[in-house]
Amino acid sequence: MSFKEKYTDIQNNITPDAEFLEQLAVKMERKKATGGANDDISLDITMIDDQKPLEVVVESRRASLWKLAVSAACLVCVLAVGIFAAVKLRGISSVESGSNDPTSSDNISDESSDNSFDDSSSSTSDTSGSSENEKIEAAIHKSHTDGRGRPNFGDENSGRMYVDFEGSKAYIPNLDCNYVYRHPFAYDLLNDSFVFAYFSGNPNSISFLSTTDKGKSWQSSELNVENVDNVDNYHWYLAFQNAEKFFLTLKSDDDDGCIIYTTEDTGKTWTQAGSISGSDVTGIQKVTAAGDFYWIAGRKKLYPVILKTDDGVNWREVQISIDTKKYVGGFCRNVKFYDDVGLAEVVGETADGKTEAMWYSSEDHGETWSFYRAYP
Amino acid sequence: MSDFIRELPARELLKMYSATIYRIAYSHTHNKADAEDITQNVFLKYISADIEWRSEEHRKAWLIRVTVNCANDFVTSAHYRHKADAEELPDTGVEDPCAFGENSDVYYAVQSLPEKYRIPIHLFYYEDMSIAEIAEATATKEATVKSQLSRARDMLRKMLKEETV
Repeated sequence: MSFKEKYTDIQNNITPDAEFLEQLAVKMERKKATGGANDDISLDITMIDDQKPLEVVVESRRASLWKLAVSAACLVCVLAVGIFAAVKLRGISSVESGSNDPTSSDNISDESSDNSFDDSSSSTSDTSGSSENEKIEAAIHKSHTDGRGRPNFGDENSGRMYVDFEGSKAYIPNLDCNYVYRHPFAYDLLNDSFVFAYFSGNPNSISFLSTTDKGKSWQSSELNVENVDNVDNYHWYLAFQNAEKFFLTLKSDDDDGCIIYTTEDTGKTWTQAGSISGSDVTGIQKVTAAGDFYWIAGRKKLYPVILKTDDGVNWREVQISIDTKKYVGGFCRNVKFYDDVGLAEVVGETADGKTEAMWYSSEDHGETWSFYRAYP
Repeated sequence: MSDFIRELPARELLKMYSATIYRIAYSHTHNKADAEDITQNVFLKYISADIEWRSEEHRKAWLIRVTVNCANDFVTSAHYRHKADAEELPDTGVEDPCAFGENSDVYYAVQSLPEKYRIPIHLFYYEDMSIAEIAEATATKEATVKSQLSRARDMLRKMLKEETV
C-alpha cells in the first residue's frame, strides 16, 4: 500500500462521534434561533470539565491575577487618555493662537510612511455602490471556481501524472509524480491548454510538457539556463498569456529578485524577458497575465507589493497599503483580473505570528488598490 | 435566477462537512476533545457568518479556511499550552492507534511531524487539494506550501523508510 492509501485508511477511521454531532446540531439551531447569545458559556464549561480540580484552582488563581493585571492596565489607560486629552486640548489652543509648528515629528511620521493605511479604504464596501460590490463579489466567486491552478496531478498508486480538464482527465506522458514531487515544478492552465515544467535532473535545464488540445497531443521542450547554478534550488512560476506564449520566473531562496523568461512558440525557443534583481522585492509569487499586462505579487521589505509591466522588461511598483497598526508585515499572494475588476489576495501578518487574508480590489486596471473585505 | 446557493439546515450541513472539518482539526491536534472543540467553533462561526454562498466550493473553502485559523489559534491558546505543559495529564482523548492496525506506523509518523506540516500534508493527501488551494486555505505562499510538503515528505520517508511518500 502507498503512503496515500494508508493515510486515507487512517483518516476514514477518524470520525466525529454521533452524540457530539447531535449536541452540536442542537447548539447551531439554538444559535440560529437566538442570534447566538450565550453559546460560548457551554463551550467553556465543557473545557473546564475536562480538567482536574487542582488545575481548575490554579487556573482560577491565574485568572484572578489576570483580572487584577487587566484592571490595573485599564486604570493606567484611563489616566493616559486623560493626560493625552489634556495635552491635545492645550495643542488645539496653541493652533488657535497660531503657535503650532507644522513640521512637528507627528506630522512627518504620518505622511512619510509608505504603508500608512487609509482608513477610508477599509470602508469601501460601505461607501461604494451596491452594483460595484456585486461586480467585486462576482469576481471573487469566479476566483473561487475558475480553473487556474486547480488541478491535481499525481496518481501515487501508479505514479502517473494527469491534469483535469473540467472533468476529463488527461495523462501527462512519461512523468512519474513520485519523482516530480521531490523537485520544483510549475504549471498553468488556460482553456484547452496546459503547460507543466519539471526538473529532468540537469541542473541547468528546465523541461516542459505542454498541450493545446486538452491532452490529445503533447509537445516537449527545454529551457537551458546557463546563468543559474542549479535550477533545482529555485522556485518556479508559470503563466500563460495565450496558448503559445507564456512566462516562467525563477526565484531562489537566497536572492530577493527573480529572472523572467518568455516563449512565444510553446516553449520551442526562449528569451530572457527581464529580471528583477538588486531590488528589495521578496517572496515573488506568480506572474499573472491579464490582457497585455503582467504582474508579480510579493513583498517589499515587510509589506505587500505588486509589480506591473507592459513588456516584461521594465517593471514598476504598485502600492498596496495595509493597516500597519494591525499588521507588522504582509505580502500579496496573487493578482487576478475578471473583466474590469482587479482582485488581489493580500495576507497580513500580526505581531503574534498569525496571518489574515484579505481581498483588495481595483477598478482602474490595477493602478490603485483598496481593501475590500476579509478572505474568503 | 439567484446566483446564490441555498442555506443548509444544521444537520444537513454537519452531514456534509463535519467529517472534513473534524479530520483537519484532528490532523493538527491529534486529540479527540480538542478536535471537537475546534469543530464546534467552526460551525458556530458559520452560523454567525452573514455570507451569501455562491457555490458549494465557496462554502467548503470558507469552512476549511476557518478550520485552519481555529486550529492555529487553538494550539497557541493559553488553554492548549497549559495542557501541553502538564505532562502528568493523561491524554484521554487520543484515538487508539491500534485501531489503525498495520497503518499505525503512518499514524505515528504523521503525528510526530511538526505542527506546521500536518495540515498541508492532510489537505494534500486526504482532501486532494492542489498546492494553490492549500496556499489559499492556509494563507501562505505556494512556495511555502511546496517547501512544507517537501520537508514533511523527507521526514516521513526517513521515519517510514519508504521510497515513495
